[in-house]
Amino acid sequence: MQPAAEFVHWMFATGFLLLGLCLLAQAVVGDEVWRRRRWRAYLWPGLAFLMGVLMWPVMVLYTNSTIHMVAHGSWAQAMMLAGGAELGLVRGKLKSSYWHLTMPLAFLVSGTAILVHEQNGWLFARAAFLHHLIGWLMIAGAIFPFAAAFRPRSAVWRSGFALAFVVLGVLLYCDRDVAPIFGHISAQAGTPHR
Amino acid sequence: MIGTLGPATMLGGVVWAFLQPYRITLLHPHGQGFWWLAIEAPILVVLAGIAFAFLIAPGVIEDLEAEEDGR
Repeated sequence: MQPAAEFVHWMFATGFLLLGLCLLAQAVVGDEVWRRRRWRAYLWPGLAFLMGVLMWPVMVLYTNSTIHMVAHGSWAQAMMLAGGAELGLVRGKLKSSYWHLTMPLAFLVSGTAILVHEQNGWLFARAAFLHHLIGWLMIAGAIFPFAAAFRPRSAVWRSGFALAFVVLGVLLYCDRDVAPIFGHISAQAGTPHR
Repeated sequence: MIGTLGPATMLGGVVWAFLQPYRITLLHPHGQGFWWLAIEAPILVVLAGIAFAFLIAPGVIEDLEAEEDGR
């Protein structure tokens, strides 16, 4: 009854897509309008924190190897830290704007973890390709929340931050456990799925 | 712009479903397990668009109009 890895990726993709849509809307209308309704201010930080919490069962139930466990655990912690810091800032419990830097940190930790725990080359199979692509996306994409932390009114940095989550969602939706990428799949990868 | 985010997301899911109809397991459910029937990526994209369009966007648009009216 336990879902295959690709289903988990698709569920998290949906979470990241919603997160990206909320961030994009906030970047467009500005913080003042977005926070006019109190619950909305907590929406995306709460979603990020929740996804961090939900990463723990992924860590426990999808322990293919020690490095998988470490990678999933580090994502869980990084997402909870970033989501929790943003919740604290919205609530007013945290005052320093430097807490926004937990988000680029989460990007860097996540990107590094996803690159490190992928044992195969880019064209081994679609999952391997996507792991490499997502890892580098997160590392390169860290520039957006980093810059947005110092230029909070910049529509460019904030939109880039939001779109990084949307692209992450799209890439996660593309995941298949064993499937070719660009028509190529390693003979050692296993039987391709549709 | 805000009003288009949800429909654009929904449209993305629908276009994806037409491009890769084999990803919609509900179209050929015989012999499929629970997860293949419950979690179908293009439908999840449409659902995300619906959630944003109906639960989040209306309030944001209302508040944006109120802000512009100086209320």
